[in-house]
Amino acid sequence: MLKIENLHAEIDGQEILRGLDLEIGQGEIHAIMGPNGSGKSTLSNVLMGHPRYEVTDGAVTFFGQDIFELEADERAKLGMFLAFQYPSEVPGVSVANFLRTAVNSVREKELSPMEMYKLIQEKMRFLQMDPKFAERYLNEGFSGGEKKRNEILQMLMLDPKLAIMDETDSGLDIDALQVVSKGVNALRGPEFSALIITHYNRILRYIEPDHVHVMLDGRIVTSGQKELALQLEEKGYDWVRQEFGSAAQS
Amino acid sequence: MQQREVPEVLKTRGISEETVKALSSLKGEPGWLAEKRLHAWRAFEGLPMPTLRDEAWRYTDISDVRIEDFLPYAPSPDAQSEDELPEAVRKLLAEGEENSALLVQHNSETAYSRIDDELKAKGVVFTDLHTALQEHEEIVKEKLFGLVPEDYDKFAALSAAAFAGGSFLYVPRGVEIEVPIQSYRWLDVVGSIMPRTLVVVEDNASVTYIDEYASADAEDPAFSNGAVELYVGQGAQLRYVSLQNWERNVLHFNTIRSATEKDATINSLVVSFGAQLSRTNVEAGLTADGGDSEMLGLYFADQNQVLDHHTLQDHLAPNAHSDLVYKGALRDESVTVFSGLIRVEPGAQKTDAYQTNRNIILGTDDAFAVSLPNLEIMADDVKCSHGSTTGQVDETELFYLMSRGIPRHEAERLVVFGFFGEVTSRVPLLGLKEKLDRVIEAKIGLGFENRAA
Repeated sequence: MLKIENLHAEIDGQEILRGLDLEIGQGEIHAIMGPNGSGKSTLSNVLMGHPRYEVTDGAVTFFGQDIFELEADERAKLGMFLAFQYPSEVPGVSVANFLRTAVNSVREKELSPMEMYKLIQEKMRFLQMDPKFAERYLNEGFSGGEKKRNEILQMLMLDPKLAIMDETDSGLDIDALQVVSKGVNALRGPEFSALIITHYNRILRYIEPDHVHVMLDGRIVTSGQKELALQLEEKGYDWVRQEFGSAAQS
Repeated sequence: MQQREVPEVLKTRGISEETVKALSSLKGEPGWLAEKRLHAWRAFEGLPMPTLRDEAWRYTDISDVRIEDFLPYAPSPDAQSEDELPEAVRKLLAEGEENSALLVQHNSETAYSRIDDELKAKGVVFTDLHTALQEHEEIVKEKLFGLVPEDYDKFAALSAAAFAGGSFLYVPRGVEIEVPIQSYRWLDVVGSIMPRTLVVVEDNASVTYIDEYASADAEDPAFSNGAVELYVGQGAQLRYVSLQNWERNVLHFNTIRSATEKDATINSLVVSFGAQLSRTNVEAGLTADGGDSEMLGLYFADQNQVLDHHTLQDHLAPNAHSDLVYKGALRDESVTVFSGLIRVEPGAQKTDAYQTNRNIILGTDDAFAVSLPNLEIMADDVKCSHGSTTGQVDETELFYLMSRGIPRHEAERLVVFGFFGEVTSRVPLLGLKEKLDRVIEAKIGLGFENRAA
C-alpha cells in the first residue's frame, strides 16, 4: 500500500533523510522509533507534503500512485492522514467549520448539515470531548492534550486508509494517551494502516504494532516485531547508536 | 427635492468662492451658513495641500489629486419611489440590512428618502442636511461642524465650504430603534460627491446607522470628500457603520468623529474596500465620564490601491473605555496605512484603552502595510496597551488545512475569513456581514498565487 524507496529529503539545504526504505501493507500497524534528530518528524512531513521540505531522491507510492506528484490535499483525498506533532492554530475558523470543509472535501458526495452535525457529535462523544469544543477556534488556546485529541477527532471524521502519527503521544498524560489510542484502535481493521512515530515505547502498550522499525540518522537501521520496542526501552538509544551508528553513516 | 435651476458655475470644473456662494444660494441657506461656508473656503485656500513631508501624510501620496479638475456639483433626478432609482442602486438596496429609514444620495443631490411611520411618530428625523436646515435649523446650527470643524484639515475645510446632500439623523431621548437606518451615496458621473453626516442621538436612545458608498464603474477620476459627526447622548448607544465600496476611479477622503456623553456607547465599524485612494480619519472623543467606544476596522486592498486609516482614541474624561481592532488584508501591489493614537488627556484617570492593528499579506512581496500604533498618555492612573502585527499567510497553516483534503484555494479562503472573523463576529448585523463576505470573496477571487502578476 505504502512503499518508500531510497528516500532522501532535506530542509534548508541540510539532508535529514538519507536513503530510507519502508513498506507498509494494508491493515498493518507499523511503529518507527528513534532518538531525537533521527529524522522521524521529517519523514512524516515529507510523506504528507510539507512545503518546507525538499525531496532530493527516491520514490514513494501509495496504492501505486507517485505521491510526489500530488499536493497535500490530493494525498488526503487518497486516504493519507497525518496527526501533527505541533498542529497549527487557525484563528477565526471553528473546529466544526473546519471539519465540515475537510470532510466534504474528501468525500465524493457532501454530507447534509444534519448528517455532519450528528457525525461530529458522535465522534466527539466517543473521544469524551465537550460538545462546546466544536465551536472553539481551531487549536487556538488549546492545551497540548486538547490539540492531540483534536487531531484524533479529525482522523475519525476523515476515516483514512493510512494514518501517520507524528509523536502524538509526547507530552500526553495517561488519560489523553488512552483516548488517542482508543481512536486509533477504533479504526483498526483490514482497510486501515498506521505508521506510529514515537520516541517512547509507552503508546505501543495501547496500540500494539505488527512491525517495529528503528530509525537513526535518516534511515531505518533495524526492524523487528513488537519485542524490538521492549528491547529498545530496556537498552536505550545509546545501544542503537553503538550497534547501528557506523552502519547508518557508511 | 430640487426646485431650482443649477447655476453654470456649479457645472464648471474647479471650485472657487463663486461656487461656494452659488451653492449656498441654490440651497436657500440661512445667512450664518453662507458665512460659514465662505469662512471655510478661505481656510481651505489658506491651507497647503498635504504632501509626503507632512507627518499625517507620510505614506499616502496625494500629489496627483487635483481638486480643480472636478465638477463641484452634479444634479440627479428625483425618484418618487424606490422603483424609480437607478437599477444598480436598487440592487444595493436589495442586499444588506433591512432598514427602517432610508436615504439615497445620487451624485450631489438626494434622490429618495423614506422613514417608517412608527419612527416618525416617535419624533425621529431622517432627511438630507438641506431639508434639516429648513425644518430643524436650531439643532443643525448647534451641532454641524462641531466635531469636524473646517480647520481640522484641508479636506475638512473643503467639506464645510462645499458639502451638498448629506444626511441628518435625530433620535429623541429614550427612543430605541431596532432596525438599522441606512444611507447610500451613489455616484455615476465624473465629478465629486461631498456629503456630510450628522447624527444626534439623545439621552438613553439607541440606533444603528449605516453610511454606504458605491459608484458606477468609470475611467476618469472622481472625488469623494465627506465628514461625519456623531453625537451620542448620556447613556445612549450608537452603532455606526461606514462601508466604502467605490469603484476604482474614486479618490475618497473622509473624517469621522464621535463624542460620547456620560455612560454613552459608540460602536463604529469602518470598512474600506474600494477607491483608488482612500483616506479615512476616525476619531472617538470620550468627552464625559464612563464613555465606551468600540472601534472596528476592516480593509482589503488589491491591485495598486492605497487604503489609509488614521485613528484617534481621544480620552478627555475619566473612567472611559475604548477598544480598537483594525484588520487589513493586502495583495498584489497595494499599500495600506494604519496610524492609530491613544491620547489620554491630563485628568482622564482610570482610562482603559486598547488598540490592535493586524495585517495579512497574501501571496506577494510587492504589497506594503504600514502600521503605526502610538500612545500619548498624560494621566498617571490608566490602563493602555497597543499591538501591531503584519505578516504573510503562514505556509504551515495552509499545509495543515490542505493535509485534511482542503484544496489550496479553499484553505486560503478559510484563513482570510478567519482573519477577518475577529472583527466581523463583533458586529451583530447579519445582512451587512453577508455583504462584506461577498466582497471579501470577490477579492480573494481565484486565490493569491493565480492573480499576483
